[in-house]
Amino acid sequence: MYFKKRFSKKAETSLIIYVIIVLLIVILIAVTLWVYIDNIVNNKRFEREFLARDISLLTTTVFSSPNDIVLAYSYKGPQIEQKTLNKDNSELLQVTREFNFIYDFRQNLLSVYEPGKENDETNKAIFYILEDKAILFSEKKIEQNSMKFIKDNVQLQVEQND
Amino acid sequence: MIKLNKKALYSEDAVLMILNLLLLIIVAVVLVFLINMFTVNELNVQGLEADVLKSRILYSKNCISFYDSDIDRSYPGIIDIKKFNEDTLNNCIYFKDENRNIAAKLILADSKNQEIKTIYYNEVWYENWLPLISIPGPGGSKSFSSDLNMVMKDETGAFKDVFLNLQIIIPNS
Repeated sequence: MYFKKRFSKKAETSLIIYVIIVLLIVILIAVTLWVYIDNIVNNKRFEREFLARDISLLTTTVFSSPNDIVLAYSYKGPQIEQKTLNKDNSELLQVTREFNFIYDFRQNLLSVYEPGKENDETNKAIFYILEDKAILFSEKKIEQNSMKFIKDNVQLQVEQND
Repeated sequence: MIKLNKKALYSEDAVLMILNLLLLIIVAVVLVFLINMFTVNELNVQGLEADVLKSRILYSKNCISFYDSDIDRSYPGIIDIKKFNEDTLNNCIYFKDENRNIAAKLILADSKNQEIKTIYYNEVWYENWLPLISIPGPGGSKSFSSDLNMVMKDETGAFKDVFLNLQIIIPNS
Protein backbone atom coordinates (compact mmCIF):
# COMPACT_ATOMS: atom_id res chain seq x y z
CA MET A 1 0.00 0.00 0.00
CA TYR A 2 2.78 2.35 0.97
CA PHE A 3 4.58 1.75 -2.32
CA LYS A 4 1.45 2.49 -4.27
CA LYS A 5 0.91 5.74 -2.45
CA ARG A 6 4.52 6.87 -2.46
CA PHE A 7 6.12 5.55 -5.64
CA SER A 8 5.42 5.32 -9.29
CA LYS A 9 5.74 1.94 -11.06
CA LYS A 10 9.23 2.85 -12.25
CA ALA A 11 10.33 3.86 -8.77
CA GLU A 12 8.78 0.70 -7.34
CA THR A 13 10.80 -1.48 -9.73
CA SER A 14 14.00 0.36 -8.93
CA LEU A 15 13.32 -0.07 -5.20
CA ILE A 16 12.88 -3.84 -5.64
CA ILE A 17 16.12 -3.99 -7.62
CA TYR A 18 17.82 -2.01 -4.87
CA VAL A 19 16.57 -4.38 -2.15
CA ILE A 20 17.79 -7.39 -4.19
CA ILE A 21 21.22 -5.76 -4.64
CA VAL A 22 21.49 -5.01 -0.91
CA LEU A 23 20.45 -8.57 -0.05
CA LEU A 24 23.04 -9.97 -2.49
CA ILE A 25 25.75 -7.77 -0.95
CA VAL A 26 24.75 -8.82 2.58
CA ILE A 27 24.82 -12.51 1.56
CA LEU A 28 28.21 -12.00 -0.15
CA ILE A 29 29.69 -10.33 2.95
CA ALA A 30 28.24 -13.00 5.26
CA VAL A 31 29.62 -15.85 3.11
CA THR A 32 33.04 -14.15 2.81
CA LEU A 33 33.22 -13.67 6.59
CA TRP A 34 32.07 -17.25 7.18
CA VAL A 35 34.77 -18.63 4.86
CA TYR A 36 37.39 -16.33 6.44
CA ILE A 37 36.57 -17.41 10.03
CA ASP A 38 36.30 -21.07 8.98
CA ASN A 39 39.79 -20.83 7.44
CA ILE A 40 41.21 -19.37 10.65
CA VAL A 41 39.58 -22.06 12.81
CA ASN A 42 40.62 -25.00 10.63
CA ASN A 43 44.04 -23.72 9.67
CA LYS A 44 46.77 -25.83 11.21
CA ARG A 45 49.39 -23.15 10.53
CA PHE A 46 48.82 -21.50 13.89
CA GLU A 47 49.22 -24.85 15.71
CA ARG A 48 52.41 -25.65 13.76
CA GLU A 49 53.90 -22.22 14.46
CA PHE A 50 52.97 -22.38 18.13
CA LEU A 51 54.40 -25.88 18.61
CA ALA A 52 57.63 -25.06 16.74
CA ARG A 53 58.24 -22.02 18.96
CA ASP A 54 57.15 -23.70 22.18
CA ILE A 55 59.24 -26.84 21.76
CA SER A 56 62.31 -25.02 20.38
CA LEU A 57 62.37 -22.57 23.28
CA LEU A 58 61.80 -25.44 25.70
CA THR A 59 64.76 -27.34 24.19
CA THR A 60 66.94 -24.21 24.42
CA THR A 61 65.88 -23.81 28.07
CA VAL A 62 66.66 -27.46 28.90
CA PHE A 63 70.19 -26.89 27.54
CA SER A 64 70.61 -24.01 30.03
CA SER A 65 69.93 -26.12 33.09
CA PRO A 66 73.06 -26.72 35.17
CA ASN A 67 71.59 -30.04 36.39
CA ASP A 68 70.06 -33.20 34.95
CA ILE A 69 66.52 -32.99 33.65
CA VAL A 70 63.84 -35.49 32.59
CA LEU A 71 60.85 -33.72 31.11
CA ALA A 72 57.73 -35.01 29.39
CA TYR A 73 55.98 -32.84 26.81
CA SER A 74 52.70 -33.66 25.18
CA TYR A 75 50.25 -31.72 23.07
CA LYS A 76 46.73 -33.04 22.90
CA GLY A 77 45.08 -30.39 20.76
CA PRO A 78 41.39 -30.24 19.97
CA GLN A 79 39.36 -33.46 19.75
CA ILE A 80 36.88 -34.58 17.14
CA GLU A 81 33.96 -36.57 18.50
CA GLN A 82 32.01 -38.69 16.04
CA LYS A 83 28.88 -40.64 16.97
CA THR A 84 27.89 -43.69 14.95
CA LEU A 85 25.24 -46.31 15.52
CA ASN A 86 26.10 -49.93 16.29
CA LYS A 87 24.10 -52.82 14.86
CA ASP A 88 22.02 -52.92 18.04
CA ASN A 89 21.28 -49.19 17.61
CA SER A 90 23.51 -48.26 20.56
CA GLU A 91 25.70 -45.21 20.06
CA LEU A 92 29.41 -45.61 19.44
CA LEU A 93 31.49 -42.55 20.28
CA GLN A 94 34.79 -42.25 18.45
CA VAL A 95 37.28 -39.65 19.64
CA THR A 96 40.13 -38.71 17.35
CA ARG A 97 42.83 -36.07 17.61
CA GLU A 98 42.59 -33.44 14.93
CA PHE A 99 46.22 -32.41 15.00
CA ASN A 100 49.01 -34.86 14.47
CA PHE A 101 52.42 -33.51 13.57
CA ILE A 102 55.96 -34.68 12.94
CA TYR A 103 58.75 -32.96 14.86
CA ASP A 104 62.10 -33.00 13.12
CA PHE A 105 65.07 -31.85 15.23
CA ARG A 106 67.92 -31.15 12.81
CA GLN A 107 70.87 -28.74 12.53
CA ASN A 108 69.85 -26.26 15.25
CA LEU A 109 66.33 -26.22 13.85
CA LEU A 110 63.02 -27.79 14.72
CA SER A 111 60.63 -28.36 11.83
CA VAL A 112 56.99 -29.12 12.53
CA TYR A 113 54.84 -30.47 9.71
CA GLU A 114 51.95 -32.77 8.98
CA PRO A 115 52.61 -36.42 8.08
CA GLY A 116 53.30 -36.84 4.37
CA LYS A 117 54.24 -33.19 3.86
CA GLU A 118 57.95 -33.51 4.52
CA ASN A 119 58.97 -31.91 1.22
CA ASP A 120 56.34 -29.17 1.30
CA GLU A 121 58.30 -26.19 2.65
CA THR A 122 55.23 -23.93 2.72
CA ASN A 123 53.53 -26.25 5.22
CA LYS A 124 56.46 -26.36 7.63
CA ALA A 125 56.93 -24.29 10.75
CA ILE A 126 60.63 -23.88 11.56
CA PHE A 127 62.22 -22.35 14.64
CA TYR A 128 65.81 -22.28 15.88
CA ILE A 129 67.37 -24.08 18.84
CA LEU A 130 70.43 -22.70 20.61
CA GLU A 131 72.55 -25.72 21.46
CA ASP A 132 75.50 -26.10 23.80
CA LYS A 133 78.68 -27.49 22.27
CA ALA A 134 79.56 -29.36 25.47
CA ILE A 135 76.25 -31.24 25.39
CA LEU A 136 75.69 -33.75 22.59
CA PHE A 137 72.36 -33.36 20.80
CA SER A 138 71.48 -35.89 18.12
CA GLU A 139 69.16 -35.34 15.19
CA LYS A 140 65.80 -36.93 15.87
CA LYS A 141 62.40 -37.26 14.28
CA ILE A 142 59.42 -37.62 16.61
CA GLU A 143 56.23 -38.83 14.95
CA GLN A 144 53.68 -38.14 17.65
CA ASN A 145 52.56 -35.23 19.82
CA SER A 146 54.25 -36.59 22.91
CA MET A 147 57.96 -36.57 23.66
CA LYS A 148 60.47 -36.82 26.47
CA PHE A 149 63.61 -34.75 27.06
CA ILE A 150 66.43 -36.43 28.97
CA LYS A 151 69.38 -34.19 29.77
CA ASP A 152 72.53 -34.99 31.71
CA ASN A 153 76.04 -33.53 31.82
CA VAL A 154 77.08 -34.85 28.43
CA GLN A 155 73.98 -35.19 26.27
CA LEU A 156 70.40 -34.20 25.61
CA GLN A 157 68.13 -36.81 24.10
CA VAL A 158 64.62 -36.37 22.74
CA GLU A 159 62.56 -39.55 22.67
CA GLN A 160 59.01 -40.51 21.82
CA ASN A 161 57.00 -40.71 25.01
CA ASP A 162 54.75 -43.76 24.58
CA MET B 1 4.85 17.53 2.75
CA ILE B 2 6.51 19.05 -0.27
CA LYS B 3 5.38 17.28 -3.42
CA LEU B 4 8.20 16.27 -5.72
CA ASN B 5 7.88 15.68 -9.42
CA LYS B 6 8.74 12.25 -10.89
CA LYS B 7 12.32 13.17 -11.82
CA ALA B 8 13.05 14.62 -8.37
CA LEU B 9 11.54 11.57 -6.66
CA TYR B 10 13.73 9.27 -8.72
CA SER B 11 16.92 11.20 -7.94
CA GLU B 12 16.00 11.33 -4.22
CA ASP B 13 15.73 7.52 -4.18
CA ALA B 14 19.05 7.16 -5.95
CA VAL B 15 20.79 9.33 -3.36
CA LEU B 16 19.21 7.30 -0.54
CA MET B 17 20.29 4.05 -2.20
CA ILE B 18 23.87 5.24 -2.53
CA LEU B 19 23.90 6.36 1.11
CA ASN B 20 22.51 3.00 2.22
CA LEU B 21 25.11 1.13 0.17
CA LEU B 22 27.88 3.27 1.65
CA LEU B 23 26.61 2.52 5.14
CA LEU B 24 26.52 -1.19 4.34
CA ILE B 25 30.11 -1.10 3.10
CA ILE B 26 31.24 0.78 6.24
CA VAL B 27 29.50 -1.81 8.45
CA ALA B 28 31.19 -4.64 6.49
CA VAL B 29 34.63 -3.01 6.84
CA VAL B 30 34.09 -2.48 10.59
CA LEU B 31 33.05 -6.14 10.93
CA VAL B 32 36.20 -7.37 9.16
CA PHE B 33 38.32 -5.02 11.29
CA LEU B 34 36.72 -6.26 14.54
CA ILE B 35 37.18 -9.91 13.57
CA ASN B 36 40.82 -9.25 12.71
CA MET B 37 41.33 -7.38 15.97
CA PHE B 38 40.13 -10.30 18.08
CA THR B 39 41.79 -13.04 16.03
CA VAL B 40 45.35 -13.79 17.06
CA ASN B 41 47.09 -15.62 14.24
CA GLU B 42 50.60 -14.30 14.65
CA LEU B 43 52.94 -15.33 17.42
CA ASN B 44 55.48 -12.89 18.76
CA VAL B 45 57.89 -14.50 21.21
CA GLN B 46 60.79 -12.03 20.95
CA GLY B 47 60.65 -11.17 24.67
CA LEU B 48 60.70 -14.85 25.56
CA GLU B 49 63.61 -15.51 23.18
CA ALA B 50 65.59 -12.74 24.89
CA ASP B 51 64.77 -14.20 28.33
CA VAL B 52 65.83 -17.68 27.25
CA LEU B 53 69.16 -16.39 25.91
CA LYS B 54 69.70 -14.38 29.10
CA SER B 55 69.03 -17.52 31.18
CA ARG B 56 71.52 -19.48 29.06
CA ILE B 57 74.23 -16.84 29.58
CA LEU B 58 73.62 -16.54 33.31
CA TYR B 59 72.68 -20.07 34.42
CA SER B 60 74.52 -22.52 32.17
CA LYS B 61 77.62 -23.92 33.79
CA ASN B 62 79.34 -23.95 30.39
CA CYS B 63 78.78 -20.20 29.96
CA ILE B 64 80.23 -17.22 31.85
CA SER B 65 79.15 -18.26 35.38
CA PHE B 66 81.72 -19.46 37.88
CA TYR B 67 81.66 -23.27 38.01
CA ASP B 68 83.19 -25.28 40.84
CA SER B 69 84.03 -28.66 39.30
CA ASP B 70 84.90 -30.20 42.70
CA ILE B 71 81.30 -30.04 43.85
CA ASP B 72 79.79 -29.87 40.31
CA ARG B 73 78.03 -26.60 41.02
CA SER B 74 77.66 -23.39 39.06
CA TYR B 75 77.06 -20.01 40.67
CA PRO B 76 74.68 -17.99 38.45
CA GLY B 77 75.38 -14.68 40.25
CA ILE B 78 79.15 -14.93 39.91
CA ILE B 79 81.01 -14.22 36.66
CA ASP B 80 84.28 -16.03 36.11
CA ILE B 81 86.48 -13.49 34.26
CA LYS B 82 88.50 -16.36 32.74
CA LYS B 83 85.31 -17.53 31.01
CA PHE B 84 84.13 -14.04 30.05
CA ASN B 85 85.15 -14.23 26.39
CA GLU B 86 83.59 -14.79 22.96
CA ASP B 87 84.92 -18.33 22.57
CA THR B 88 83.06 -19.43 25.69
CA LEU B 89 79.89 -17.70 24.49
CA ASN B 90 80.11 -19.28 21.04
CA ASN B 91 80.52 -22.72 22.59
CA CYS B 92 77.77 -22.45 25.18
CA ILE B 93 75.37 -20.83 22.71
CA TYR B 94 76.24 -23.04 19.80
CA PHE B 95 74.79 -22.56 16.35
CA LYS B 96 76.18 -24.71 13.55
CA ASP B 97 75.64 -22.23 10.70
CA GLU B 98 75.48 -18.46 10.70
CA ASN B 99 73.05 -17.37 13.39
CA ARG B 100 70.55 -14.96 11.90
CA ASN B 101 68.12 -15.23 14.79
CA ILE B 102 69.64 -13.52 17.80
CA ALA B 103 72.71 -11.53 18.88
CA ALA B 104 73.97 -10.03 22.13
CA LYS B 105 76.47 -7.61 23.62
CA LEU B 106 77.76 -8.00 27.20
CA ILE B 107 79.40 -5.05 28.92
CA LEU B 108 81.11 -5.73 32.23
CA ALA B 109 81.77 -2.66 34.39
CA ASP B 110 83.20 -2.19 37.88
CA SER B 111 81.41 -0.58 40.83
CA LYS B 112 82.49 2.90 39.58
CA ASN B 113 80.89 2.06 36.22
CA GLN B 114 84.27 1.88 34.45
CA GLU B 115 84.19 -0.66 31.64
CA ILE B 116 86.21 -3.80 32.35
CA LYS B 117 85.46 -5.84 29.24
CA THR B 118 82.94 -6.00 26.40
CA ILE B 119 82.16 -9.16 24.50
CA TYR B 120 79.69 -10.03 21.76
CA TYR B 121 77.69 -13.05 20.77
CA ASN B 122 77.20 -13.00 16.99
CA GLU B 123 78.92 -9.59 16.61
CA VAL B 124 78.47 -9.27 12.83
CA TRP B 125 74.68 -9.51 13.02
CA TYR B 126 74.57 -7.43 16.22
CA GLU B 127 76.16 -4.54 14.33
CA ASN B 128 73.88 -5.13 11.33
CA TRP B 129 70.69 -5.11 13.39
CA LEU B 130 71.66 -2.24 15.71
CA PRO B 131 70.63 0.60 13.30
CA LEU B 132 67.33 -1.18 12.63
CA ILE B 133 66.08 -1.10 16.24
CA SER B 134 63.77 1.87 15.72
CA ILE B 135 62.16 0.34 12.63
CA PRO B 136 58.90 -1.48 13.39
CA GLY B 137 57.65 -4.47 11.43
CA PRO B 138 59.54 -6.72 9.00
CA GLY B 139 63.04 -5.47 8.27
CA GLY B 140 63.41 -3.93 11.71
CA SER B 141 64.68 -5.39 14.95
CA LYS B 142 63.99 -5.19 18.66
CA SER B 143 66.43 -4.62 21.50
CA PHE B 144 66.18 -5.97 25.05
CA SER B 145 68.50 -4.54 27.67
CA SER B 146 69.15 -5.68 31.27
CA ASP B 147 71.38 -4.19 33.96
CA LEU B 148 72.45 -6.75 36.53
CA ASN B 149 74.36 -6.44 39.77
CA MET B 150 76.81 -9.35 39.83
CA VAL B 151 79.97 -10.55 41.51
CA MET B 152 83.13 -11.15 39.47
CA LYS B 153 85.80 -13.71 40.27
CA ASP B 154 89.01 -12.19 38.85
CA GLU B 155 92.26 -13.89 37.76
CA THR B 156 93.63 -13.81 41.31
CA GLY B 157 90.52 -15.53 42.67
CA ALA B 158 89.29 -12.39 44.44
CA PHE B 159 85.59 -11.46 44.30
CA LYS B 160 84.49 -7.96 43.25
CA ASP B 161 81.14 -6.23 42.77
CA VAL B 162 80.43 -5.54 39.11
CA PHE B 163 77.62 -4.48 36.78
CA LEU B 164 76.69 -6.53 33.76
CA ASN B 165 74.81 -4.81 30.97
CA LEU B 166 73.24 -7.33 28.63
CA GLN B 167 71.86 -6.10 25.31
CA ILE B 168 70.06 -8.60 23.14
CA ILE B 169 68.88 -7.83 19.62
CA ILE B 170 66.34 -9.96 17.74
CA PRO B 171 65.22 -9.22 14.15
CA ASN B 172 61.49 -8.78 13.61
CA SER B 173 61.36 -11.31 10.79
